Amino acid sequence: MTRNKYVVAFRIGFQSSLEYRFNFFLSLLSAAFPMIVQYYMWTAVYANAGEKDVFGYSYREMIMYTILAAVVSKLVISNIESSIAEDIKSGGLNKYIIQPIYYFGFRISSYIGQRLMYFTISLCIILALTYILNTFYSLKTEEERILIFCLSIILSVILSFLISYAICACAFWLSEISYFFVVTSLLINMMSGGIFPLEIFGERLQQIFRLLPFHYLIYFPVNVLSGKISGHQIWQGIMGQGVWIILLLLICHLVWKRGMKRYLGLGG
Amino acid sequence: MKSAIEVRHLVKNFEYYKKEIGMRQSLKNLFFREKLVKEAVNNVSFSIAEGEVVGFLGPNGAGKSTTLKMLSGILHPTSGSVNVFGYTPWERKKQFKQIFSIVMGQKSQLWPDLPAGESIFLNKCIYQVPDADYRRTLDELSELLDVKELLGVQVRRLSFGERMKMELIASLIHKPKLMFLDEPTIGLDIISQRAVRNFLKYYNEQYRATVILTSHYMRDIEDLCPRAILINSGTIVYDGELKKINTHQDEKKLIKLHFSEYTTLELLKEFGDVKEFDGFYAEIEVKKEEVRVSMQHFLYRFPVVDFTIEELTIEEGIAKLYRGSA
Repeated sequence: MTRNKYVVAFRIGFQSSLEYRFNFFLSLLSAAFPMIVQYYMWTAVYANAGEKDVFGYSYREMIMYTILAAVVSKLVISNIESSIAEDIKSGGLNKYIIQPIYYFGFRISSYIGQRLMYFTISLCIILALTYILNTFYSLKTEEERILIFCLSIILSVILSFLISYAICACAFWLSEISYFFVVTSLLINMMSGGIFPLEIFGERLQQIFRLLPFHYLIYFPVNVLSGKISGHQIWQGIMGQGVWIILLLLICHLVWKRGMKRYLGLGG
Repeated sequence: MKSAIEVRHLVKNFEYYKKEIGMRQSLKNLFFREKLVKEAVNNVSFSIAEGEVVGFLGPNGAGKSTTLKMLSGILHPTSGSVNVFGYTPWERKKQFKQIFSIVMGQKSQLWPDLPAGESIFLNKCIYQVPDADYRRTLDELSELLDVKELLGVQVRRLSFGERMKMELIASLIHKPKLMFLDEPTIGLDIISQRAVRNFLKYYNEQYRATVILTSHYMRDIEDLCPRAILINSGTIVYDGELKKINTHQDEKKLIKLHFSEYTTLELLKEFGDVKEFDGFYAEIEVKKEEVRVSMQHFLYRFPVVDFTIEELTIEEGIAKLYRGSA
């Protein structure tokens, strides 16, 4: 058995997540409802459009995108904001300040532990869905594409954790924060392509969105899998994810340093 | 004796914004906020010797937790110095973190979904306690607190008292030299309270650990702390032996009288401070030197059937100090 504190934090996170398995399956089930609504919506849109492509997506691609994005967003979006903000607001952070352990390291290891099982299950569901959709629409997804998708989704999870961690730092300055996270998570879900493909928002907004890290969370991995993005664009995307991970590590470090100063009563 | 904690002229000010009641004031506050300064801790100095158990008392909002937070390095002071076993707490050196722990009755550090043993093991790894020491300490503490069989039970399913005992084990697994206990018996039943007190006493004697205890239960303080530091409105109002808290003030005794017939309050008032009265029973505070004379009058002039003469309770003395300094 290992003795490293972060590995133990990971293991404990994993064990405690098993307590909430029913919760997890319910949340997967809840993802199915918007999927059905969107299915009918797009079916109607395409029937009335009279064209083959809408926003550059064929009917099949759009349905595939909608279904995959719904599951990927369940997998990627972290929902850790409220618990970290709670630590900041109610003094739970004190415990980590007085113990010889880094809060960030502790949080990320226990987070990975908590998500590991769900991550694996969601990934299996996504692969199964891809297979089903492929047979249904007689398409083919190359194995190579699946492997790159897995890589990009791992990067997405890390990126998503860092984005949430940076946003949580707002709790150092704002005292009423619970609804703030409802707003940010909605915005992030939208800007990351978790509801619609980004093409829907029009050329200008799309360009802004591409400057932000959010589209790497859902839009990018889903389109890698569905084949919408290919060739050197894939590697550009992976690079983009890597760059944003480094940038966000820096941002997290800076805002948490400022925040901690305030928390510890140094002013600022 | 070597001193464990040295606190010199410690000051902590908090800035906050004035809020007034009413719609108009709220709107005004959106644009213009008046900044105020609260002196939470105001020029506090004391020193605590190694192995000492000190009760840290004060009404709510007196500055107890703020002081404890500065002693443990959670807060930076506005000014002043603190030396804890040679360390300045807010530098938060790793070696400093190894030597102390905090137990808070109000806040759990255990993972609710897992057996307490897991959280204790996590702490072992955080503090890098060697395996053999860990096993020995865990055995010893869990046996003392009689919770050995419960280490594998989910924390959520433990009773409040059992959970508190687990908290104690988790925070003592690295054998800290210094403990900050913030209301460790809050919400516990009498038996659990006693168990926790006995345990703390044992731990202090066995390991010569220095303990700072805050509690609103006088029994905790009386049982454990020979010395008390009273803080009110950010300043120390008493620092010394707990037993002498009363003699420190004007010397009084409490006379309790039972009457066989209804008696009026007015007649009793001239003898001293009437604390309680219901016609057939009275409690009166009387100056020590007047006790003899007063008793003669009571027995002579009132239908007394029973009486006792007692020391003022420590609680009464503390309440007086709180009031007197506020």
